[in-house]
Amino acid sequence: MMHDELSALSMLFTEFYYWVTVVIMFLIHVGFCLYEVGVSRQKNTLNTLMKNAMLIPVITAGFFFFGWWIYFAFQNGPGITGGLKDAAQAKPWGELMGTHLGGTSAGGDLKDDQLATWPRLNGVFWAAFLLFSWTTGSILSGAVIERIRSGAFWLLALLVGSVTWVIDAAWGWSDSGWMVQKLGYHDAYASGVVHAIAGGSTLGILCVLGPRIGKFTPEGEPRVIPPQNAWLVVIGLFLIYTGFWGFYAACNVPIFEIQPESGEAYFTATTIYLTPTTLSAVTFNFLMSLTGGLFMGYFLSKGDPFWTFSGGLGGIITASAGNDLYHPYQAFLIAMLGVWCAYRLHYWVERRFKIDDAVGAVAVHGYCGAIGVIVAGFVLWGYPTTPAGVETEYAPITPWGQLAGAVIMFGVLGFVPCYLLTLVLKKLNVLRIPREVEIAGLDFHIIAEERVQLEEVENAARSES
Amino acid sequence: MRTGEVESWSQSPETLGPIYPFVGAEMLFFIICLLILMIFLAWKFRMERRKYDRAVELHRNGQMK
Repeated sequence: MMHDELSALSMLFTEFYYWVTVVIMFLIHVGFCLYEVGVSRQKNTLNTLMKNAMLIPVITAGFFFFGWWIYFAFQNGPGITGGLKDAAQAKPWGELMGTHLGGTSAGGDLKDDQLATWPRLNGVFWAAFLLFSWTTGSILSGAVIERIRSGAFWLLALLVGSVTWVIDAAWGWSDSGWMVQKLGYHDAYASGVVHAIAGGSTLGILCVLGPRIGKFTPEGEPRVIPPQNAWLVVIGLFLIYTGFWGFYAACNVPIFEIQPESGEAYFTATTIYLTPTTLSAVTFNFLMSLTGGLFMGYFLSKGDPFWTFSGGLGGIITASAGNDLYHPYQAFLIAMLGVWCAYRLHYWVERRFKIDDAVGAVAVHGYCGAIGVIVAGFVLWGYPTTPAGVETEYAPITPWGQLAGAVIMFGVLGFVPCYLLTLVLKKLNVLRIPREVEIAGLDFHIIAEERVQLEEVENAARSES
Repeated sequence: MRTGEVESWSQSPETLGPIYPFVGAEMLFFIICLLILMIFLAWKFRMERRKYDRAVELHRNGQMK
């Protein structure tokens, strides 16, 4: 591949493309940090920041050790359309997970096609997926602030970020995943595979974790716990929008030779499903779905900054399932529908089930994501899912296939595993911080230490003068 | 049931033009979305008038600090 200049250029362009998306996606995590710190109360600021920031190394390690391998190995279920798939490029002790020039295999067990592509792409492709993994962890993080122990949270983030979301991606976000083949599941920009699963996971945790002290009156009415800094929250969300551009670009394959029946070479950008699209169309739809979401968020909340900006994000998430194919007007309208539903559901669930979701993560990601997947089933009804040149015929996109997909993402892989693990953590008494600490503030020891240090400095200044 | 015109991604790309669903309904969608924009702006004007009328009333009554 690297002997022919045009092929080498194509390879290096693809490598550079994913690298750039990783850099842009970093902004999602800067945004999440600002957003969560802004929502939390002053007494919990540093703990909130570190709880979120440290999911980065935890999930990175897990994704290197086993997550990447799961993505390739589990595409058949396993046991639904076949067994475990070969994933030599993702074996954590394999040579392709290290610096490699692709000329030859040290172990002699790699095929030519594996040596031709993976040495140049493995790291950047892994990194693009890793940033999606961090995103699922960060989505969990905001909802559970001010009362969860960091260790418990990191274990939950590891489960979602390196196991369950990766399984759902293997199943429904790959060109040969069993959900794509059998259900016609279509989710180009991850409404279900990232957002619905993260939202469902968050709901599972919240059901067991319980609300913050003082969130509900004795009569069960929710109280508003205002953010310490609304400006920080909004800037955080704005940065998440910026990073989301990288997310969208990373969901595509930048240049691929699709193999139509005509036999003529045809190069185009594709989705992860290797179905054709263009970055231009995706750009139209990203912006129009953001627009629809912002309008609806502003309208419903009468201009509340938090819900307006959350609406923008929710709008993009709702339309993401089909943003490779929708017309921009359709993306706009679908975004508005998703945000309307999610906003209503958030408050209904809060009142009915006493769920304290500090940042509306279940609504913006979970409900918008699931609704987006289901809506795509109606709007894209009958669209083919079989990539060009593939012999096996896949099921087309249908409302029932998408509904099943939404249930699997939100419920089976989202809600259930996290609900169960949170129950175990609760039983072991390692889930929630003590009541006294929650009232005093998670940064209480830092605040106390700083007070002592300041006094020392002031006393020294007085005695030295 | 099919909402789009694509039958197969294996067909010659030369035969693929618009791949969004409901080709032919673009004018209808344009009108709906334009109406939404206009309704939003009208709503905003009304809401602001009510809000500032109320604020002025509070100010005159000495209740706005």
